[in-house]
Amino acid sequence: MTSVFKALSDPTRRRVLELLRKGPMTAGEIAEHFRVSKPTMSAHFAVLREAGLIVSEKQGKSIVYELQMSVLEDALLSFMHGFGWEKSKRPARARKSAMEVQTP
Amino acid sequence: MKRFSLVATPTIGFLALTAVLVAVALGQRAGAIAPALAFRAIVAGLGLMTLLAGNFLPKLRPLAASEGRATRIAASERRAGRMLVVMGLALVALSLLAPVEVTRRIAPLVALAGVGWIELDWMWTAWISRPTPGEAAVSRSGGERRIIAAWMLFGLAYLLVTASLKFMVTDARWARDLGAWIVIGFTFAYSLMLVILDRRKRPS
Repeated sequence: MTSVFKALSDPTRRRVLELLRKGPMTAGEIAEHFRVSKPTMSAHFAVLREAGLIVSEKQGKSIVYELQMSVLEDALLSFMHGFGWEKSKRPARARKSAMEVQTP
Repeated sequence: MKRFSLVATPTIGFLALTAVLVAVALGQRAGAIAPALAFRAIVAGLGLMTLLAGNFLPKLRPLAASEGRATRIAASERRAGRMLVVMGLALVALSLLAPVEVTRRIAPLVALAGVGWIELDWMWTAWISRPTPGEAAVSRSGGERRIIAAWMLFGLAYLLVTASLKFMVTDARWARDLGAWIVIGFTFAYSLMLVILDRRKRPS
């Protein structure tokens, strides 16, 4: 269960799970939604796979990721969204980014 | 490790709860446990089994969706899982909070309605996901998990249906027969769904 909490603690990984709710996606399709490097994305996928929240399947040259969450894990993810976890984090991140831009 | 825990956790939990239910039934028969207490314990045990099966259902992928229909089938599995969790919570709440007579009337209705809803939902999903002519679907892996899921679902369906009918109409012969037929119907619907959804790739 610790690995599940660790996986769900990161907003990028939560966003990946939200994207996979729409259906299986390749690593490339998921990565298009994020402004992070490929190794970083791979690390996020590895954490999610380790927690058993997603499964991967190699199809030709691409890797297809698919959601594999229990009802409890799904409820945990929804709980974080429902209580505005993402919204409360965003302004802080935005302020931080703005300060970094303004700093000469 | 992850693979082991994914299969072992629901299996061990299910077997442990089955053992508890058998112990309670034997205890009641031997006169060691009062009938009202035994009834509450059996409903609570069935509720926990339902909760456990429902929680792990989307992970075990009993329908093992094939390529092209994965999203719709996965959504159906998630709906079934949520329905079982809600059913399980309702059964546990009834067993702990409601008077025995109320539980005796409502619990079977909750269980039968839930199993029936899942059966209908899966049949509907199978119908709308039926392959189009000439379509070659690729089978997905996960046989071991599917066996566990099927075993757990059939066991749960049998327990819920037979217990519900027994609570509703005591020990009538026709009720036992009806219970057997409902479970056979569930098995048939599940098998049909697998045949429709899990076709092998046709050789070109």
